[in-house]
Amino acid sequence: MVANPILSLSNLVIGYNEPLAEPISLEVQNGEVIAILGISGIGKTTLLRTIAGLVPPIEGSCRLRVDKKGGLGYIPQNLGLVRHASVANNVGLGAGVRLEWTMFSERRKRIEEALKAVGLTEKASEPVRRLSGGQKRRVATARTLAQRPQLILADEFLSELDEGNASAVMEAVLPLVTQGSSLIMVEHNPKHVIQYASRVWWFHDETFTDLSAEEWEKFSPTGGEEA
Amino acid sequence: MLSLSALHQKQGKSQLVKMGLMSAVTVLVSIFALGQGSSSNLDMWTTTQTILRDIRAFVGLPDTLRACGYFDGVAWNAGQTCTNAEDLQSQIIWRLRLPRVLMAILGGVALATAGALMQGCLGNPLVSPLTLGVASGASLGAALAIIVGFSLTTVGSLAIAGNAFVFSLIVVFIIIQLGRYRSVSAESYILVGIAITFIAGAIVSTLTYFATDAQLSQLAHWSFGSLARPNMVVVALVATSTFTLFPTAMKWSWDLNALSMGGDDFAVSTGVDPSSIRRNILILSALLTSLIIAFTGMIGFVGLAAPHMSRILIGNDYRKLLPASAICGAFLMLVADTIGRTLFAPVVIPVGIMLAVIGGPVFMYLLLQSKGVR
Repeated sequence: MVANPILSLSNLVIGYNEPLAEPISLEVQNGEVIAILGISGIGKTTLLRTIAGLVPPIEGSCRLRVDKKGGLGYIPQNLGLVRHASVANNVGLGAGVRLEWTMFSERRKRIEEALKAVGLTEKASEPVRRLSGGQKRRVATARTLAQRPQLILADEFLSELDEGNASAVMEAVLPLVTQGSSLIMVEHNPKHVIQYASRVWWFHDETFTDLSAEEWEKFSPTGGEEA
Repeated sequence: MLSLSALHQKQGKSQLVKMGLMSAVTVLVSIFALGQGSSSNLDMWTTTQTILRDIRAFVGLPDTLRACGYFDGVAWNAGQTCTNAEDLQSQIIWRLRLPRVLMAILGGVALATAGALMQGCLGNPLVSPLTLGVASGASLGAALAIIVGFSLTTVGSLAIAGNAFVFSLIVVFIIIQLGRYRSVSAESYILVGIAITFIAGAIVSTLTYFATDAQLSQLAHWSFGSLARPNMVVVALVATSTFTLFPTAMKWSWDLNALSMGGDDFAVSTGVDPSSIRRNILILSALLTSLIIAFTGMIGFVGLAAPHMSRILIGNDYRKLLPASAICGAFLMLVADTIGRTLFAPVVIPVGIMLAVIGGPVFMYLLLQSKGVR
């Protein structure tokens, strides 16, 4: 298992033209939950977008071992929902869920499961533009869940949610993790995520420090809380 | 709960009706085109009767046609084997006009599909199948075959078309190599295509500098884009390849929707890898383009106009836009070619020229209409 990481970064230099950080060499195994923490504007989102293939790396390599269509789930900060379409149709947009070569019954099943997991079943036919910010975030999460990805990249997907909602969404994502998917989430508020994370990538002074959850507990007095 | 909204369903129905109407009109126009020509003009009813009669004869009595030398590989001579006017009529329709009409339809389908695919995945409405440089590669190959006499194909009758095809494949190969770099932006593809166009253009210009008058006119003829060259074998080949490539395009239509709806970010969030899908679609459209251009010469306008016309008629959903563009492209090519060969018959105006002359104003009119300008 150790031999086959789902994501391996080797000497990866991230940034747009100008490097944002020291070279990063890290590996992510199946079933890991990783929280990327650090103050805003430091490059957490850029790292996530580099992993998603949206920003070309300046140097080094970023290898994803995702072998099926829709195997990479990405929840961007701006969510990328279709405002005029219904919640169910938005959830049905993901690869492997779309009315394409997917069987209609399978598609229906996946959408219903995902909506149930985030608690939006009764809003299914509502257009997305009528939902609140937190509900939209849950729709985006459901869309990614329905894809059944092997690696989920989530950019502040809990930030606009209150405590209860945040833990509800995390509870919806965690079953996938126990089935072997990995989760990498960017948050600026450690409170939401620290109890779920198995590792923390602490981004500070242009370096990434790879910490286990216990190490972070000890570490947090120096840089924790709002960071 | 999960059904599409009523509006969507209603739209879907009217779009299907529109596409059905367009294809019906295309079929009618092709029957009309089969009856028109420089030798004799038949009305559509007579043409249909002739075609049906010949099909019945072909199915039931192949001997009738064999007697006319239809299956002979050698050049056919009307005076020797076919004496009556009906046979002559059938011969003209089946041997001369049918390959041409079929090639017009196929060319329209392939080029318009390629244009729609490329406009979608490069996110640029100005892109046409000629943008990637595939056609310039083809024209370089043709110029080499015509002027230098250098051809990579050994079959004499395929010297020009084969060479054009091989050289356009070289451009396809360059595009594949380019796509190997992670996250090549859409602009890079377009700029590399323009660079290839310039390089190939420079070489062709140099070659024409040393060419004789006869070679020059042959090259000019090639670059006009004409449907006169393909025979039934070529048509069968092109048809097979086009209709194997088209379902692949349809398979990617949803990914293309994701890409054109919200750019790369949106595509990734719906589980589409933008760089790989962009590379695959470009390779597919380059193949479609080179397949047609090698045999017909430069026909560019249909690949630009047909997708835009269909977009005005059908909307932006690529699941419907791709077939609609294909039908629209076939229709445009067919009309342009038929007018081109009947307007000043027996002089045939190449389809490439006719397309721009007729299609251009229609295209502008549709664009201005849809923008609400009067």
